[in-house]
Amino acid sequence: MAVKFIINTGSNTPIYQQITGQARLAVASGRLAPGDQLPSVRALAEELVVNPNTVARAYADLTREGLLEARAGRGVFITRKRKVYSRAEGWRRLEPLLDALIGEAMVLDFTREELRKAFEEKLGQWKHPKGGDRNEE
Amino acid sequence: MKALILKDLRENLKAALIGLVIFSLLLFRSYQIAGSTLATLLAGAMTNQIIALQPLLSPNLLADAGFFCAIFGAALGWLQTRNEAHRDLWAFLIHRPVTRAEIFRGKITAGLCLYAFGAGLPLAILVAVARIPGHVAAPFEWAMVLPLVSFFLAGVDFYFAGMLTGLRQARWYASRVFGLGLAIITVSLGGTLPETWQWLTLIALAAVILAAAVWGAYQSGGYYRGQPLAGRLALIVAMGAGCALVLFLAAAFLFFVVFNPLSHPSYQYSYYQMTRDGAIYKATTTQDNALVEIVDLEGHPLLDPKTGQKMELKEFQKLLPYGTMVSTSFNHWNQYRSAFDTTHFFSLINITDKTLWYLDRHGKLIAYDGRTRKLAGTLNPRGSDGALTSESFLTQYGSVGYYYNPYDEVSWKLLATATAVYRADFKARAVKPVFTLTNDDEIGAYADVQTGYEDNQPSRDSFITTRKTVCLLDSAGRTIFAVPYQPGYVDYPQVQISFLQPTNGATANFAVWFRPEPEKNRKSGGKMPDHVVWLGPGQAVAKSADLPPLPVQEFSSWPDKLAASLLPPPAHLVFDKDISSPWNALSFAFAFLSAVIAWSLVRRYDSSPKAIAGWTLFVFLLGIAGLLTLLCVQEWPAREPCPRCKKLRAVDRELCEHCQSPFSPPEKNGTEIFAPL
Amino acid sequence: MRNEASVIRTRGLTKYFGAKPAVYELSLDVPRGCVFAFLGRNGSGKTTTIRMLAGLEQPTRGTGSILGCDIQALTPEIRARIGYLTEEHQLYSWMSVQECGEFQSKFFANWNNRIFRGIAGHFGLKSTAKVKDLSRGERAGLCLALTLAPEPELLLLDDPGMGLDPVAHRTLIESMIYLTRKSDRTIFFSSHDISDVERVADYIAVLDRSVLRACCPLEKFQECVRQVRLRFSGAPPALPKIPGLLQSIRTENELRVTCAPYDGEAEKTLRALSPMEMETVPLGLEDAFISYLGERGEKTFILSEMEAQP
Repeated sequence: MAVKFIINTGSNTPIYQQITGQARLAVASGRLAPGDQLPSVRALAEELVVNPNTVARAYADLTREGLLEARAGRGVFITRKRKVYSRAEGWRRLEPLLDALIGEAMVLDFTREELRKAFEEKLGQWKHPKGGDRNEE
Repeated sequence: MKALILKDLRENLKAALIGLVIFSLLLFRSYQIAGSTLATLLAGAMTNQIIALQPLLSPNLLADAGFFCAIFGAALGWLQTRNEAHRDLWAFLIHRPVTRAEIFRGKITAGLCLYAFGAGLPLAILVAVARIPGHVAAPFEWAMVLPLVSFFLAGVDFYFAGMLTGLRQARWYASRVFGLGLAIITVSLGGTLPETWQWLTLIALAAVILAAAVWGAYQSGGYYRGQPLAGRLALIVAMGAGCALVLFLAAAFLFFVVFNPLSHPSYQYSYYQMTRDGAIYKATTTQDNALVEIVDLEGHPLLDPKTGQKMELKEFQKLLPYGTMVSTSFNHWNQYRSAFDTTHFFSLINITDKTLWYLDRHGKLIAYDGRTRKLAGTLNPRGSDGALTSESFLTQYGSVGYYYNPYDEVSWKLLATATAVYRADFKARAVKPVFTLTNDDEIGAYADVQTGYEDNQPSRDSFITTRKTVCLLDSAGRTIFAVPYQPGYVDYPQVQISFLQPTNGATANFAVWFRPEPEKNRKSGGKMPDHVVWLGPGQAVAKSADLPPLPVQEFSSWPDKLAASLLPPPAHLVFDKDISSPWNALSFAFAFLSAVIAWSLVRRYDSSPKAIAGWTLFVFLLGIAGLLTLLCVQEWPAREPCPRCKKLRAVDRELCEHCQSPFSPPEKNGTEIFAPL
Repeated sequence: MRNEASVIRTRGLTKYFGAKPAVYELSLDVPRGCVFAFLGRNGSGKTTTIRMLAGLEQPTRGTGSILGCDIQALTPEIRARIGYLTEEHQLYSWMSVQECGEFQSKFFANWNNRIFRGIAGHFGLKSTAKVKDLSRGERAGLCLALTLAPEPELLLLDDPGMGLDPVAHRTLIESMIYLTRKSDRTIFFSSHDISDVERVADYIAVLDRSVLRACCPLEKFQECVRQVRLRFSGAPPALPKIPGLLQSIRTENELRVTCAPYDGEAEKTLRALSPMEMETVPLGLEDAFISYLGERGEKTFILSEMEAQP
């Protein structure tokens, strides 16, 4: 398993959301590929020292999003990304993140040029995500 | 449960061992003191602790044992409960799959074993040591162990009382110790109850009550509410006894410390006294023994011939004659009665050649060698044909003022059986009859009286009463005088003989004074007169007189009676048998007032009619002590105004007692977050 | 009885100490198989409630039942199925660790010595060490081992983490998670440690000054307590009455309002103040809890006023 989940208590984000967020990030960055197995609910709960119901809820959300699927008798696996969100929904999810990024950069006195360059660089560093699979339904 | 017993044994072993050591030391010391009594006597000195020759009956030892068993028992019980004093440790004890009753049984099993170990083992060893021949130069019978056993068993009462003290969750901290009251009362009653079996029954009863109260405390965690009925009743009885004791002590305090010095109650006490010349005077003194007057039977004051003034008490005492008094009885002479009555077991009548001669309560004359402390023999009465009879000697228990006086030592003594008077010679170890009753009469009382010295040896006469006669015999058994026993022994069992030294031409040498039985006299209203006969020449009755009865004196004044009226009506009636006395009415008034208060309190907080009736009756019977018990024992719930009818209502009832409305759920403040789970 | 849906059920449970209610009209149902956290400030009645549930304190009025049995008449069979851990971790100070284990094992039929030795070993307890020589944390570990070894169906834990060092703390939480393996095991615990609660609790109940004010799933609590930040051009206006208002903080241009629950009506009332900006700030569970149980009312924090003071 290539991903280590880290959760913080006391954060503004509930624990199950931390798990789903980290899972999504891992899939998006390629650290988790379709077909990779995630630990069972119980195993992850005991590793993270959290209530298994919390892990179960996170997995349920991810399954509903289409990121995860349970195979009977074998465990939970990452699925091929299926389009669940509409484009508009996707923009709605992305926009606050863009706001946050730009806002933070402005506060830190970075120029637009610096920011643009950094963005391009980062994009190049990432393994090419399978964004094009949007067309597979 | 065995694990619980073992745990408690282990936990409290140290306390038991400390007790064992202390008690052993105490008993050892008393034992040594008893041994020194023997040394004192053998050295020819006087001691007033004859009974201590048998250490098991020594007053010091019994007092030590009594106090130790009580304190040790209470301490052990208290410590056993203080082990779980912290409420979380109590929780640890209680929260396990056993019933509270099993926990209680486990605890008391361990505690009683430790008590038996710490208090019983030293006693058992003491008895064993005393039984070894050569250790104790005094008679032994198993009944002598009863006083010690009784104190040992009374300690069990204190054990349970100590547990109750440790367990009770009481509002007033001091009221926790009231449980000891029942134990204290039980032990104290040993001195007043006539029979030991009655005392032992009371001890057992108190143990059951206190144990039930402890059992109840385990059921509810020390609270009154939540206990089963049996526990509550037992607690009420125990607390009631404690409150009664406290009230009694308070009344005594009022009596002795507060009122007495203030009120200077004075009463006068009159009694008759005969002087050496046979004249009878009436002396009146105050309660402090200050003389008021001494008058003769016509009322003329007695004057001191030396000073010409009124006779003083001290001078008067010098005029008193020699004599003795006996109490005639034909029944149950040798019965062992109260455990406190240890001197009944034996009396020391002679020490000759370092051998101690005892007359035990069965009428057997037994000898113990003072040096080896071993049994040295017995002397039994023999008939004039020399054959052993089956008779036993009469003890002198009924005679007043008998004690062993080593300074009046001879090696013989006169003793009586039911039919004859014997002379026991301790040097020769022989017994022979000197006087035998000829008819089928029976000797009912016997005492020997010293009449002076003869050949440098004290001479002694025997004074005996039979069913029909009163006689005086000399040391050889010859009759000096014999008068009819009139009035009869049934009503007048107490007979006194006085040796007169007549002056002024009077010739009587002896006077015999018959006194009525006190209980019968009281029942007849104090109207039975004393009867006196004087014996003239030839020892026949020369003169006789009936002394007018003296009035029964009032012994207390109003402050004392006020203090006494605090006692509950049944107790007060025992003291003041006159139903119509105003003090009895006051006692009833106190009790009635207390009952009214109790009724209103219980009604306010408890809706059960049985509880209301029961408490009201209880408080009425026990008076102020009952009200005190109610206040100590009951746990009152708080009261709050009812939102609907605005009256105060108890918070422990689901519905308001006035308007039947239930308690409202808590007011919402707008920030509630409730969601289905 | 064994498969009842609620393992703990109270109706109107009330306890007065003297004239003061420590617990007032508590009505609560704890479902089987969950981890239930019982929260509240010190003195709000949590320990009293747990003691009443364990049958150690008599309620003044109201009823309660645990595993189907009336709490005022707990039978030995029911007690065998309940594990109770107190705050103070009190044990007989003269016993050794091993003696404690042996003592307890004689009473419980399903005593599992492997668990006892496992947990005791986890806390590093030597079997011959006497209780009086153990540290607070070691004693807590021993108590935990003694409580868990009989494999109870229901755990009543009164502030189990109090006084534990971080490692011992972690072991405690791990044990609690481990217990949830069996689906019919229920844990009812009170705590001050919100991070623990966040990790393990399914449901929470909040006691505020002896009254139950919240009883819901954990996420619901976190969702319901929200902070709203309103920015104004000038001084913020006076705040009208809002149902569910917990606290408000007023600064020069801002008003921060914490509400529970934050619903449509509250939002409308705030919008009616015409702020320049209005945004909802998410709150962590600890902050939400502190706001919920903290002092209600308005605090002012105006810098110019403060600087003006000498």
